[in-house]
Amino acid sequence: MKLNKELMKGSTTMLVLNLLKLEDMYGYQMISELKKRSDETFTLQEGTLYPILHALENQDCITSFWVDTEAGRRRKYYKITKDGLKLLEEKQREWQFYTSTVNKMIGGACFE
Amino acid sequence: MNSMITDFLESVCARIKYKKIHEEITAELNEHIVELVGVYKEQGLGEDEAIQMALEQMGDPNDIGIKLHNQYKPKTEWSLLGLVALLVTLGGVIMAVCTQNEAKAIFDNLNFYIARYLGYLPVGIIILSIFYFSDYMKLKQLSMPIYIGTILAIIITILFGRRLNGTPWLTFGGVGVAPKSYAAALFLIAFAGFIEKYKGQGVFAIVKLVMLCIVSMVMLLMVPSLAMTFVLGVGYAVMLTVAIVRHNFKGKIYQYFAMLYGVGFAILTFVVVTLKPHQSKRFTLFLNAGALDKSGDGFVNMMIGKWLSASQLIGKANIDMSYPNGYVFPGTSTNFLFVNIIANFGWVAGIALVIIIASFILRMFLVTRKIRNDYGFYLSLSLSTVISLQFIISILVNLNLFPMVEMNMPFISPGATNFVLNMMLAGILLSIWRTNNLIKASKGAIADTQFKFITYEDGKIIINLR
Repeated sequence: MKLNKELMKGSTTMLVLNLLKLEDMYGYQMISELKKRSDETFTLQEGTLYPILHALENQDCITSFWVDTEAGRRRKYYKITKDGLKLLEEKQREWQFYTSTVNKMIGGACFE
Repeated sequence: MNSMITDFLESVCARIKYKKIHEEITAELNEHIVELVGVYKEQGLGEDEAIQMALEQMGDPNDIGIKLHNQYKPKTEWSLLGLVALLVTLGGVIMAVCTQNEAKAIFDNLNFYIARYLGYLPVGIIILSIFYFSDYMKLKQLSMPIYIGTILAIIITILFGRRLNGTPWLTFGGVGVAPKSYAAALFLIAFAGFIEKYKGQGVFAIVKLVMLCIVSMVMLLMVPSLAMTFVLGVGYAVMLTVAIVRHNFKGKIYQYFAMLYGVGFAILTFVVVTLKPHQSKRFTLFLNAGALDKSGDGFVNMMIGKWLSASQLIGKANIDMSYPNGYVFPGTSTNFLFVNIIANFGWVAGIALVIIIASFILRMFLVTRKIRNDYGFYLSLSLSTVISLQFIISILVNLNLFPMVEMNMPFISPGATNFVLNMMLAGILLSIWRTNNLIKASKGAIADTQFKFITYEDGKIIINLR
């Protein structure tokens, strides 16, 4: 199903942090993982991802480090911090509350 | 690199005013583009087509650039700038009103202090601006030169300077500079660099740092300036304690505390034992401010006591403060300006001023905690400590709650060197805070966020001395 981009806007930060909670990743990897895990539903744009990554880093929610690959290239990996985990928890709580309230309004399934 | 890719990356960076981040962003985006190109080529596209598709996939370079620029904009710390401006303005007003009596009596010029103030005020503002817009990081490499330079300045002043009331001064064309004004601040600025340099090292690092402390304190003691040596010592103690707690050094915390405070106690004992009689007397005099001892010592303490007890809540004190027959004593325009304020305007004014100063001190330390890179943090800590100590000691002396030392309130008390120096310190502080979000957090950030000195778990308070 094709999604309205506006719907995704609010949760991108949360999705990115959730990916990094699972493992350290670099930009391209995040986009492809997101696509994979959502069965091609979420196609995060590069132009959206990098500003978010830099913003999160400036807030100390993630940190970065460069890694030399075997192919001789250098990749910038990101890693979530304790503050980042806290932010993720907060955003997840927000999301649960928001979706359960909307569901109540439109009479959909309510996940406690 | 392919020219289409270069153009793309240049367009992105063209939107980002903060040039220092260009290299990193270019590298990161380029890697991503290269990977995309690889994928498209695997799907069978030719080199140029692949690049075109990849760049399209990346999005609008202007848009990306603007969004990234928004992440790297320097932010002015308005609360601090405002408080500094307030203190400077108040200083001018206070000086205009409170110093006229003494100025007329000593210099036969009502506006002596005010005139000088108007002279060094613009200099101070210019100095603050210069440091505000400069890159404070450059001070890190200058740590050792600053340290050694200050030691040399002290030596030269002691050997060749002119003495005024026992304090040596170096004069340059009518302007005098005394080591006791600037040495402590400069030593602490250098020390921030030293602490950061020894990050991650073990016990030997603390030994070296303590040696640096001792040498500089001995130099300052030889000036002689007991008061500033005390300030310097407290500054060093604060910085080392915070560094140890933040795990700046490898190994267990308690061993460093044992070393540090063991040495500190030894130094204190040494200093106390070698104090000259008149110096040790200062320590006891302020305790009985009412009594005048036979040799006339404690005169000022007693005078302060008289002024304070005669002061009203609002308005002028019930005591004759006029020259030459009233209860006058030297320094009411300089060291004892705070007593002067209370005596002329009342306790309410004094308390109001203390509240403003307390907010300033609190704000300085609160903002220091948010500094993300190690050097900036230690530098901010050292400068906040120096400025705060000057205020605290000066006020305590004025209330007869501290041994009599010569200490002026930053920004408020008259004195060109002092004013310009504190403006410089404030400028550096504001520069650190302004660029906080631009500089990457130090690698220690991960360890910091996972390690807490004091935690509260399961109803227990846990203090970690690991």
